[in-house]
Amino acid sequence: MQQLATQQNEVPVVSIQNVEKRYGKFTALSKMSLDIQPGAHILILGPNGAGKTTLIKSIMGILNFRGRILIDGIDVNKDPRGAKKVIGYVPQNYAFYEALTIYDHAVLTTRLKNLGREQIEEKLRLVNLWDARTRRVRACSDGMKQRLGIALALIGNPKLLLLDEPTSNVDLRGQLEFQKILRSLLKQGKTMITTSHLTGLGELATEVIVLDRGKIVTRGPPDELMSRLSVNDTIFLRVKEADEPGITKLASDLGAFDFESDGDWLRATVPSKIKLGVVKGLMNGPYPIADIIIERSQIESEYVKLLQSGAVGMRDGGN
Amino acid sequence: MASYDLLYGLVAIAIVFALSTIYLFARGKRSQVNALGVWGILTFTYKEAIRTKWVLIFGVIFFLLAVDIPDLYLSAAGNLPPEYLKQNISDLLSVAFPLIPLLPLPVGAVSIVDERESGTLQYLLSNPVTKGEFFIGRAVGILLATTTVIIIGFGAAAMVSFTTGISNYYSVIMIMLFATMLNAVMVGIALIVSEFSKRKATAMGLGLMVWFVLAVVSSLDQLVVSVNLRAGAEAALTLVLLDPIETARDLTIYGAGLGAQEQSIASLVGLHVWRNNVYPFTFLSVVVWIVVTFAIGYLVFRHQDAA
Repeated sequence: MQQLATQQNEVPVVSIQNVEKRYGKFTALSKMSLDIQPGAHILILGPNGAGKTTLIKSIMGILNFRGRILIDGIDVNKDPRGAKKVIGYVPQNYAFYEALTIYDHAVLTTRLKNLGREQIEEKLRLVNLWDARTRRVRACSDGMKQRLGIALALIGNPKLLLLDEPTSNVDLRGQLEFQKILRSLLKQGKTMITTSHLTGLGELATEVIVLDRGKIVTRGPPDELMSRLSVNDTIFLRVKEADEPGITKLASDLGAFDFESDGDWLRATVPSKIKLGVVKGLMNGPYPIADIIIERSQIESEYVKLLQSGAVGMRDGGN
Repeated sequence: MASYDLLYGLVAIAIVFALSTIYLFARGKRSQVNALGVWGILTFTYKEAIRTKWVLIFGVIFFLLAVDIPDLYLSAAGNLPPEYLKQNISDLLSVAFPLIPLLPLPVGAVSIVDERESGTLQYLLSNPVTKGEFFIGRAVGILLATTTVIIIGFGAAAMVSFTTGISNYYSVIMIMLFATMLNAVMVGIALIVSEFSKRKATAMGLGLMVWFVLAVVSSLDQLVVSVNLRAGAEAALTLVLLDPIETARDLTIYGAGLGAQEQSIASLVGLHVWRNNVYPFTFLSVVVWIVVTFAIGYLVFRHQDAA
């Protein structure tokens, strides 16, 4: 009860009230209502066209919409500047000016945020870009652009971070670096809203919200949603063709299923929870394995698959 | 009194647009304008625009048009004719004024749509700047960059050509002022084009089409004669005022103190209708163009989705 009372008394960082956004006849957001408490990390999932990016842009006040959005108690439509002071935004496609340097972008951002340049070094160092500050954006990798996006978003120490598909073009190393930064930001108590298909990001979220056709179809803690799913990973084994029947039999006994071979690689599906046991059993088995690749399942993609199959209904819809 | 009805109408339109824009800009403000944010967008826009090859080329073109190389030969030989300046300015008005919109139209027409297409508009507006502040920074940045080119192009030519007497600079300064006003109208039109375009290439095409229509229509003389004969001088003047290039050119003719020989038919119609007040009233008409185009640009941008 005490916890509930605390939550009720606390001003939500984001309060979305009956928000509706239409593009002609297409409804991108349909009378959506949602409160996000301080310190929460909300992961928003949904298929293309579900309304994820529209929701993020509406929160920032970039799109016109019906209804009301309050950021830290400030109405986005009435005081867009005041509301945006609370927000740091990491864009989807790292849209920066190619001819400007990393440092130029930081200077431009401090001006836009009506701040001095004191924070620039700290934020660029945080994402390991200080030494590359004179590099033009056109010469930066996607990973660097992504980190630049985070650094710029953090200038001004905003309470709320909006991350719109922040890792859609980033390689695995970039994704892992990104996760590390996110973890440290979560420790600082930042409130975050992320739309992503990032591996492992589901585990960092405090709540997952699934959107479909502009509506919240379900929401809840990631663990709870995971328990509703039978999440599977895929393993790829490089083995001799002659050993394939034996390895298939062994892996099958260990719990793997759905085998497929292209003559070079043997692919198998394994439940996420037992994958390490399967790999260990195979490595200790009598058959030589030249290489193993594990393709990790993503809570995001699993949920979207389930959503598209129609298995998820309006169970916990927040509308 | 009837001859002033047109002017009153224009002023009323400008006042309505200006007041509604100021009202909407001020509405809902709880804090002061983010001046540093506007300055950031303005300086960034200025630097980006001034670096554009198109803009640099136009600086050179304006210089070459204004410098009038044959007069330089005559000047060097000490054989300049007594009326060379008026003739020079008259030629400049005929040739350079229709070209001035070619500078701001393409630069302005791509400015917003390019940001929208590349996603940088989203980045800029995710910061604590309002759409109005972005629009001001962007519009003034483009205006200053294109004005710099006009002033440097014409100014450098003036320094080369008109060194025979300081009094000649008055006419040149007037030309630069009115060219800048025409430039401002075109920046306003270009921003509207940019707002309504979905792609950069479309915006560029539309911008050039606007120039083509205005430049072709700006050869108004025959049409003005015809309208004057059929519908009267006020209708003819309305036709002239609907074309900002012609209006700005006429303003320069009145303002630069050119004689009867340099008057165009369109400028004579204004003189006939507004008589002694033709200069301030034409000046006001160009101001109305500036106010209305910028107000429409702002109002459209404010009500559009930024991304």
